[in-house]
Amino acid sequence: MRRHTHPFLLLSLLCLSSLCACSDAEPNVGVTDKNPKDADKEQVQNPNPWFKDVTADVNLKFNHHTNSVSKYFLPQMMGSGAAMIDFDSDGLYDIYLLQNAGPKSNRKNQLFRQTNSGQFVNVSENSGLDIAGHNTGVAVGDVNNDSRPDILITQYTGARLFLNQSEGAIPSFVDVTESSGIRNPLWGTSASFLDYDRDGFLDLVIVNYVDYYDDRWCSDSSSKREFCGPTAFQGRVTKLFRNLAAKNGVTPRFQDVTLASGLSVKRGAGLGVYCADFNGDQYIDIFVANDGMENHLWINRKDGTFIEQAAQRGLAYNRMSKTEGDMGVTIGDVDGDGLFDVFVTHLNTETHTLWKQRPRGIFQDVTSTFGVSQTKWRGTGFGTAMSDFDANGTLDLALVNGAVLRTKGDTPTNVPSGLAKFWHPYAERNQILTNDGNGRFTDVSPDNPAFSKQAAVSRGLVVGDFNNDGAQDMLVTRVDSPASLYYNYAKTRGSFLTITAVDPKLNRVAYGAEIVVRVGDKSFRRVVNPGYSYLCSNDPRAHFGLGKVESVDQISIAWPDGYTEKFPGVRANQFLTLERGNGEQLNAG
Amino acid sequence: MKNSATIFVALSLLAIIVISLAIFWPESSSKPSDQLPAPNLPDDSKGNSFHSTATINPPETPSNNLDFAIAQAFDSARAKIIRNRQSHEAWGELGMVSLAHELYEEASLCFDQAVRLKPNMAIWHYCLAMALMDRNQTRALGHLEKSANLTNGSPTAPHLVLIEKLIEFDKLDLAQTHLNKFLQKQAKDGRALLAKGRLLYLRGDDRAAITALEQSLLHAPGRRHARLIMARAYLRLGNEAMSQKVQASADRIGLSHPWPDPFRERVLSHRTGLKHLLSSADLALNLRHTGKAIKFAKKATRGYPKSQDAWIKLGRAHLRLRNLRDAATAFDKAMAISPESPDAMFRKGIVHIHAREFKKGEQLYRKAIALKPDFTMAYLNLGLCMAGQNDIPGAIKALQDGILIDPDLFALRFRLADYLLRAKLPNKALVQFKEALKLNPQSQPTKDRIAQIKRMLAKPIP
Repeated sequence: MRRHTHPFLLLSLLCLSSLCACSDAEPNVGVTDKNPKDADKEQVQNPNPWFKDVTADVNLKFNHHTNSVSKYFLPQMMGSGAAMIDFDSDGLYDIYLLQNAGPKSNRKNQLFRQTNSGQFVNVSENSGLDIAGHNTGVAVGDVNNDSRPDILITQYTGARLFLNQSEGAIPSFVDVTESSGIRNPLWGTSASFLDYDRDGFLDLVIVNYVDYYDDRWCSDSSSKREFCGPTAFQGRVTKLFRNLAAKNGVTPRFQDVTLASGLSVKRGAGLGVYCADFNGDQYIDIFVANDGMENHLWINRKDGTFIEQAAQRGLAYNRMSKTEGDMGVTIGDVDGDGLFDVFVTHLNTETHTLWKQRPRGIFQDVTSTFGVSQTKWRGTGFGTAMSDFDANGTLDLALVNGAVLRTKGDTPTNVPSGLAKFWHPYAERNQILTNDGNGRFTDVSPDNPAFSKQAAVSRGLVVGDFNNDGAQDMLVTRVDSPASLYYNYAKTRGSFLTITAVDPKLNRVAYGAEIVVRVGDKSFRRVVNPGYSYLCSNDPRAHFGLGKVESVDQISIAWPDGYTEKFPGVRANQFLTLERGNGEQLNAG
Repeated sequence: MKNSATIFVALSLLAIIVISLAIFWPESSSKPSDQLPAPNLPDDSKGNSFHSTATINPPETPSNNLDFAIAQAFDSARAKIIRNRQSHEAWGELGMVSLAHELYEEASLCFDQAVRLKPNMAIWHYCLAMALMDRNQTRALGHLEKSANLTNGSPTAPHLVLIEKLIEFDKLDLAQTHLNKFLQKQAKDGRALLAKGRLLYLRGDDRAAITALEQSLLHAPGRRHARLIMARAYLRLGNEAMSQKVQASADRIGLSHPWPDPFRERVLSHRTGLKHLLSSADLALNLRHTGKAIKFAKKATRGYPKSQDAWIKLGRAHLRLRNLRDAATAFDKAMAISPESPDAMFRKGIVHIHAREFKKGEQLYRKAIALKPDFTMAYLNLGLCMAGQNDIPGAIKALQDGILIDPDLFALRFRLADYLLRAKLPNKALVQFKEALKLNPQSQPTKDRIAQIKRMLAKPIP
């Protein structure tokens, strides 16, 4: 119904309009979107930021290189990842960082060992891991169950498996790619270990991007040369390698089961991956985030084969059934309803998507409802993680940004020193969103200038407790810039519990296990799996923020084969290792 | 003096009261929750144009290496504004040129002026909304609603886009209100029925969603989307078999034309430049409108003779018509621009295959593979070239090399199986055909070959 306005009031409104020189009224529909330039003004110095940049303090010296960028060679733009790995099993997590300057470069991947004093020492030389190449992603997992974490690296047209044979603090990794049967001459991106066939040995999934031609000419809307997008090329299959169990207990052997498992029937421009039980049948499924194409959710049929069901289960597209530029992946229960939800980062012209799981196995895009689209500024997100940074009992979100197309208008000035001018129009700032406990997110990036103030072409995000203080820290990798390590010094942190779920028969962390911590009528759920974010491997321990709780009532673990047991309650603020078989059986699996 | 001061103070107070009343007057300020406040616009009917455009300059032509054709279009539209700053058409045209080339800031500035000069022109509100949507969704929605009100259902696009945007931004109640209003007038509109189905699905009413979506299936542009939502609704209802069936039918639907939208089409008609020509040629090729593709590609090669892509597109179009000579010339031009281009070599190789110049084709494919070792399609065509020279072992080797790179490509498996059969290796061929069938379970030729080999193997050896 059309409403009438009193002419006198109309006149007054006109006066107001001319006084204020306002333009159009702002309808209050709860959708905000701000220009990055406006966001600059919002940078305030929070007296209690959560994070501090400790890169220099801990002596982490790594500068990522891509070599010449004049040819718009897409693999350079897509960046490289990093891994959090305790290669020497001393309880202190070390860092492995990848280079992307090509096979002929003298820029090589670097391994940094953490010492008792918290300093990082470069131990790359003779480690076996100091290789050059267009190195992209990294996955960490113990492929031969010898209790030592091994490393898989993906590359532009390759993948390499390194067996950890380190004794003590001296790193020693042996390239067993050929003998192990890992062969992936495609553009590998993210990778993850999983035990999809429940045989106790970690299988491997490698996500591949596109069939890339480096002479393909792509342009922006003004016809100026620009990096190509994924739709200019054919997508590739995601590869699945089954672990056939180590020969003599040492040398791993894998079989390419992509075809046999059914994963070859669909192709995509894969960038992100998460392996977990997505439909509640206690078998590990595979979610692949595809760039510019529909995502894939490979549901485990329990017979060695998979069926793709992303569209039916709501994860293939956004709410409007549109494909988006899907990059990094993380999962977590954002509203404490006992079901994990899925978050995927997207382009700065889209919104990052949060899919809420309800009921089990069905997902719905709730991006606008949960405040994920109402951020202080927009960015093209890559690495991402859901983690309880302030340990208040709810999962927060971190994402690292860097455009893939030149940003129009002013380029940011607060970029890493030494970043080539070529990259400046691609530089964007990172973001942190805090959770109100009901899954409603608020952007607190300006309160965390150490993490969010500088603009860069960020790609990888590793989350974990590097300094073993019970708080979740972050490591960020960037294109052609130094990696940065941020320690969590949030002053108002709540209690925590960090659990390592170990299967003693397998001598390793139980990837794929689901841990539920109960406190009163509340439950906190985590999946044990370091392979998420984008191109990265994270902390394999499950971190629980507990708020003001001093102890928990019960811990239950559903092991990857479905066997479930419960453990008694413990006091908060400790690191706990729970071994299979030491609890009380709930379910035989 | 004292009196005049008192009068001044009294007048000021009165003004403040009036202004405060204006702000807090319920009729003018409070908005029902199910309605978007309208954009604050001058009352055009009274001729009150309080925002003069006489002093506002049109945006400068972006200097950042803008494509010359786009720059020309921009300059030409800009000149029209300089000639007549009060022309909403002139501002609108520059806005459309900008919007068509994703120059959003320039576009919104122009449409702002067009809206001020002609507030009752639905297209300017619509275009302003599109220019703002990525940067200020709140304002964009206001202008979209204004456009919908002004068009009053003809064309339908502004109202339907508004409904879709409200659904996208989770303003479901508001979307429902607008949808009800729309359906009262046009109950059978396919796009509206799709929106209704989506809305019902998002609200958890799966059965009603399926009913609405089934009705929308009659309208081609929304068929795929409708089926995608239906598949999810069926799964949520616990009917996995039906969900799988509907999903499979959605997967079989290719790209369809977009919903009709004359405002959008008017904006897109301003596209120009190399990128536009190349994408138009590509689209025409995909739709098998080869004549159109040649037209676009030729225009691209004339305007941008150093564009390798333009020559490749032209060559592809000629190849489609089997104009081998013209195709070869175009690919030669592409290779002259970029001598190390595996893509150009690959295309030129196809010309050689058609011309049965298999040796020449082989040379090109070997070179392309040397430059791009994971070039699976080059292995496939190398196989064809080898077979063309009656070198079946060579063809098998090429395809086996390709399979090592990409074991999951149907065409490689099928072709390899075929050559193995020709090499009188039926058992090996059978293995490859079976693998090919796993990759494409619908392939009838593969099924036929498998049956053929099985019959062959079943016959007793004489």
